Amino acid sequence: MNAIGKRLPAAVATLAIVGAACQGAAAPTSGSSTSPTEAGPAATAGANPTIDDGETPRQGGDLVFARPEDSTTMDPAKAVETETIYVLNHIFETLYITSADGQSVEPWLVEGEELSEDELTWTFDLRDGVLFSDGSPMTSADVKFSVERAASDESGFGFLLAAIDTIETPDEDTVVMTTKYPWRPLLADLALWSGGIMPADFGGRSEEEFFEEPVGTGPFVLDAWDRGQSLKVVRNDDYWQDGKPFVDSVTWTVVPEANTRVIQVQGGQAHIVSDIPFNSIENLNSSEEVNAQGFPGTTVYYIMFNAETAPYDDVHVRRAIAHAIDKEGIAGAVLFGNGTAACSIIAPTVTFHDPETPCLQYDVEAARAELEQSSVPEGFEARILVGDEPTQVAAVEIIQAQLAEIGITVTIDSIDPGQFYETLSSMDYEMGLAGWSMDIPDPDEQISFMLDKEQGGANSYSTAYEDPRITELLRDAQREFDDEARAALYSELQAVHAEEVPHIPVYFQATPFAWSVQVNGLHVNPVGNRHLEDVWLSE
Amino acid sequence: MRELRYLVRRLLQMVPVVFGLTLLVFLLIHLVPGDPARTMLGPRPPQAVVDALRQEWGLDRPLVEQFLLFVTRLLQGDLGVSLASGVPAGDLISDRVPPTLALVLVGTVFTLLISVPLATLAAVNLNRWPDHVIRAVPLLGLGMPSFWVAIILILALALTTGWFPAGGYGSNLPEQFHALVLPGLTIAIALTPITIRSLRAALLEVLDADYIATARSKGLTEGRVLFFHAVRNAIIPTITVLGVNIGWLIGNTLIVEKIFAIPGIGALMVDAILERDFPIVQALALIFGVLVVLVNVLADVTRSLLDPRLKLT
Repeated sequence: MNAIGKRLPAAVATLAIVGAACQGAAAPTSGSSTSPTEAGPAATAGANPTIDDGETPRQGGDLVFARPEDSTTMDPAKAVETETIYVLNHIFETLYITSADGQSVEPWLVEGEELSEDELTWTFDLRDGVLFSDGSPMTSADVKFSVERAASDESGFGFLLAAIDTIETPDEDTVVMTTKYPWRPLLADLALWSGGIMPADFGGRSEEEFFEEPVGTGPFVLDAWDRGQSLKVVRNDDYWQDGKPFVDSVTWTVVPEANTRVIQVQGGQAHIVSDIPFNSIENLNSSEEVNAQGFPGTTVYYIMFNAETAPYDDVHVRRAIAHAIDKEGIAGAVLFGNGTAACSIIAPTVTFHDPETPCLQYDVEAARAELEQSSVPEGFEARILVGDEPTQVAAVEIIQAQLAEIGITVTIDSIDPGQFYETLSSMDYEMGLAGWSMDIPDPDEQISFMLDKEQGGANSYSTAYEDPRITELLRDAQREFDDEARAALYSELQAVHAEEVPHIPVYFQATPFAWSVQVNGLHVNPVGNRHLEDVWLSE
Repeated sequence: MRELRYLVRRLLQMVPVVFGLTLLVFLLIHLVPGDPARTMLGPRPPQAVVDALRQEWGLDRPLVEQFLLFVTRLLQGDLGVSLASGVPAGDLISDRVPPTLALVLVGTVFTLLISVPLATLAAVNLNRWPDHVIRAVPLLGLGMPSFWVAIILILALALTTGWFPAGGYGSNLPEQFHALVLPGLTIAIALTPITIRSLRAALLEVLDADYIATARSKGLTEGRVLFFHAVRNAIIPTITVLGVNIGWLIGNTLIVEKIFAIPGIGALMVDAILERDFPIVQALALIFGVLVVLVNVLADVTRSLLDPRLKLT
């Protein structure tokens, strides 16, 4: 499942969109919906071997993309699963998008924006010459309709756009949004898939009819959808980026078994496959027909504590556990080089990540010393919750062995995805290994969700944790339009977090793909967007 | 006439079996912890949004009421609507039954094509080397898990030689058959050890029978004796064994479907369970139940056709 994102424009006034968009998506470790592999920052080499090799892109060809699950809906407001979102990105486009390096937002269906002195009124100049796939031009009325729909209760992620007060359309080319309070993440929030632009009032059709044959401004148009099996989109001839897309069609096929996806790309049945086993990457790269890589992502896996339960409400216990865990060892053992040990809770691919965060190092003696000062100096019996994904289970087993060293006896509760969120939201756990990935390029999505107990909407993502210093810092950062000042706020927040350890970030994980050497121009940004309109197939 | 009455009676017997199964599945899937609304929406939306969805899906009503509603709709031919995709369960499932049935059929045909000649060869060479080899080698098939056999077949016959696709399911009949060869073979490798042994044992018994001696004394060629007299009689117990195993197979094609990316009902079932997509789980349980009973009826009818002396009672 994923996420939502809010973004804060970095650019203060002017049209420059500098933005620090962020994205965050919560990928529960359970892996039910998302492919659990968003990239970790450190993931393998970030370069895109396929991009920009100087050749002239070839038009034509039918791209086949094998993935673990099918889409569930064509409605951006109802989409929550990553596989659904990554298809919708190609049909409905948003006003802003996440940049290729994941560090900022870029204007997409707008030329730019202007922010008023009081930081409450945003004026957007829409991009000229953008047509819907039915040939009609995109106007401000369409934008108003789409964004209001995304912000409504009808949308599962409407609360992310809660800062928006009014949307007005002075002319066909201009949209004016006012916010209830200064809200830096707005542009990043508008990069969230749920704000995909569609014709006002569904172009006169009923909602149901519209999503049977959706119309957007994206590079592709839905052609056929055989539920659970394959989904085919064809080229939108009215697309606004000249010459794109290069391929005639994209067909996403559902291949649930990871090793079968690997075999399909080797056997030539699929051009691109996602979510392959980490341990297959090296082997695939030794072939001349296939490239494989973990793209840097934003996924962090971390240990969470139920702060309502003893002894996890004791900071010494949390610090003891943090010192007792060898993150380097875990990342090396379970990710085969496709990720790195984590320090800050904010992934290195996300803006305002502070590499200097003073997190607690692996030190068994220090761990024992912390435990001595705690309410349970002799150790205790603990339970840890984990999804059923093999990488995560392996990580938890290592953690179990390492905690045994300091007298903490851990029982592992591995549960299936259908139960994961319910268990978390009912607070029926002690510790858990959970994952988070961003949907937009602004850390606010993650930080307020995980740490703002009152306003984050999720009880500090089911930890019930609250620290007044952290709450103040994150709320100040939401309203701070100066990048440097904002970075300082987030650095301080990361430092307090490292000291209080409400979570222990364990590892950042890459997003593994494999593709045929025929495929050119594939790039997956840290949020997971693919932009297949840039991909072309050589002969 | 007698056959018809038999069929009607067997089909009527299906009703309580399937009803019991439906009730059991309904209870089990609802008693397992896990909330489809929360699973679908993920961790972010507030509880109020989740509760609204539960209400929309009727999951906040008492279980008895939900079950009665399910049965009422079922009697009207309505299998319900998938929670995860909003598509009617009937539409979702009807596309996925043919691949599973085709897979089971191809697997069964391969099993027979392999078992009959090998078992015959073993029986006529009793205690000589062909018999030993045929008794021993297929046993390996019993010991090798399907997921492993499948991958070896893909490596050898799809990747290296390119003779068959490495998974997937074509869009027309020749493509589909082509795609089903390796999965069918995977199933056959698991089933043949059982069928070969049962057929060989039956053949040995039959070959000693008086009517075989009679057939030979009439001067029939050994081939005619074997295939028209011996195998035809010996295969009857094997059909029973095969019937039981196919029934088992229908619920267990899952692994093969997953590895070969065949869009069948086994794969759908697992996804539906993980998502707690109750209507799909219930509808599939119903279909699995009906299929298993039907296969057993079919096995009985086949036996009766092969040996008219067997009464269908």
